[in-house]
Amino acid sequence: MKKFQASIILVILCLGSIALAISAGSTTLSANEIFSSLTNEQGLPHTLIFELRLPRAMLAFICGGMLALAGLLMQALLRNPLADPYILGVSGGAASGALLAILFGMGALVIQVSAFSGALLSIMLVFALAHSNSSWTSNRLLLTGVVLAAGWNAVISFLLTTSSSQQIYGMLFWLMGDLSYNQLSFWEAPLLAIITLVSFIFSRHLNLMSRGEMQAAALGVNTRTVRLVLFSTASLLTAVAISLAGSIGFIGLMAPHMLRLIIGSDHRLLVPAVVILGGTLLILADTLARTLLAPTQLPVGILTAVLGVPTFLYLLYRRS
Amino acid sequence: MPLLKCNNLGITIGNTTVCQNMSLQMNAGESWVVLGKNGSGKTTLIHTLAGLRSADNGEIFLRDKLLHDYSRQHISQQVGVLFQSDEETFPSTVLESTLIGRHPYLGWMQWESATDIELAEQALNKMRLLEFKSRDIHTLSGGERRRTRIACLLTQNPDIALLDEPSNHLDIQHQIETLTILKKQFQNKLLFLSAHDINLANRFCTHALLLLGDGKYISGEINEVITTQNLETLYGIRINKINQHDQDFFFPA
Repeated sequence: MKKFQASIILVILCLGSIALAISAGSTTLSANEIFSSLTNEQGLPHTLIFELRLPRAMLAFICGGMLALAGLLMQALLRNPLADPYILGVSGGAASGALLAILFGMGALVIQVSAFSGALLSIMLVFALAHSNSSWTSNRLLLTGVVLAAGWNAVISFLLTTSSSQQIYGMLFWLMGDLSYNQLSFWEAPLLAIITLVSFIFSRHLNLMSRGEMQAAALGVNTRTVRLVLFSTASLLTAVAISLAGSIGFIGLMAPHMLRLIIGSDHRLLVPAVVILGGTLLILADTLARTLLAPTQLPVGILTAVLGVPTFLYLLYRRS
Repeated sequence: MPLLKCNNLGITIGNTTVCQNMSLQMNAGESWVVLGKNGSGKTTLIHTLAGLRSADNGEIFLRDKLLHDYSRQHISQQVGVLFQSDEETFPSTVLESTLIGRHPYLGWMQWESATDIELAEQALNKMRLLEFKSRDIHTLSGGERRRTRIACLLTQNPDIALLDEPSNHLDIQHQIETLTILKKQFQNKLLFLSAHDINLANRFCTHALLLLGDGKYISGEINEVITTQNLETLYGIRINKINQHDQDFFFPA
């Protein structure tokens, strides 16, 4: 059973990536040190693991899972393989919000809130503009998103050119995605869990929606409800992920496609699997980002591309 | 009681009036063909009868109840639609694409059972596609994809089948074979299909509906409706008729 094997491998990969994230860094921890730190609350290993590396790995997992799930939902709902979490101009809105906050010298929390508001504003703009005759056609949504993203890009360029050189460094990190300045609070993990569950409940409907809305409606899917629920959850996931970690590219586009190439297009498998794969990919990328040129930390967005592009191309060409 | 009935139905789309004050009664055991020029609204009519868009005036009854009083799931257990084209974007095997026909009968978190898979395989077998069941639908030819969609409809097995140009993309062997299979499966049910091939319709259908393009229509038993005169009114060209083996054949003069 190929799909079963693939699921097992995926879970092993995920656990492996967490182990790697815990052990790798400025001080490399051995398996022994990791295990002894579980019981011994004194000492450096315990602090390193439980205060620095594990929280950061969890942040990476949750952001990666959110982006990958949002990408999967967007691709299925828009029936477009090029769709990603940012397709509706979300990242541009969030980036403009975040950059504005950085420009005014605000702290991490304000940057986060500002990015989140920018993302939501952008989403609402797209849906309001693309709305016609009480129905959204996916092409109209896509085009509105793309055009709006171009507008946001102008705002971002303007903010970059008018900022001082110290601020530009922080802004660039934000634009490329960076997991080093934010920490999880209590609600992100439950949010991802709930939305994954909701998406899983709708996953057979999603199978039909990805074959066309008329077809889905003719087979008994209440398309309006499914579309409304899943577009909102995908947008929420994107807005949260981007406000936590900046605009991290590739994960949301590629994780769903990688899985489709391996386990097929059944969303009942894809929904849980894409969360795990997205999370795993971002943990690996982030671990590399902070160790490759240590003590210099690279923006994680560079690593998601470096890891993602060759893997993706390999899977694509292996198929044909 | 008619399976599907419409009272004073009025449908307009853009500047086209598809029908006005149209009243039809369609019973189990009948097979209807709707004929009309390009853009006369055959597809729109099919979508309306399936409850996928609302009519401007009038009522549609499914058995004794208004179509709009049913939930989408209940409609889909009784009414199946074959669309003119499909929009499959992502890879999907022929079996998966057929199995979606069982969706109307599954509960929220229910997976397809062995029986569902068996039904889908039987349908694929009828459409002579069983050997393709693990193939990606995108590797099939247009006609084979069309037959997969029809296998999906057979798997859904509704009481009313609304088919938008079912013979599209099919060679003449598969046209005859497919319509024979559909006719057999929907023997005591209702078939409603749109077509451009008058002679194919004449051979398989019991009733006809002509959409004249200005909101007017002609409906009734097929040998009363499909006449040289009506067809000339419908298409606006001269039509000739020959009779062979007791069957009328129509062709442009």
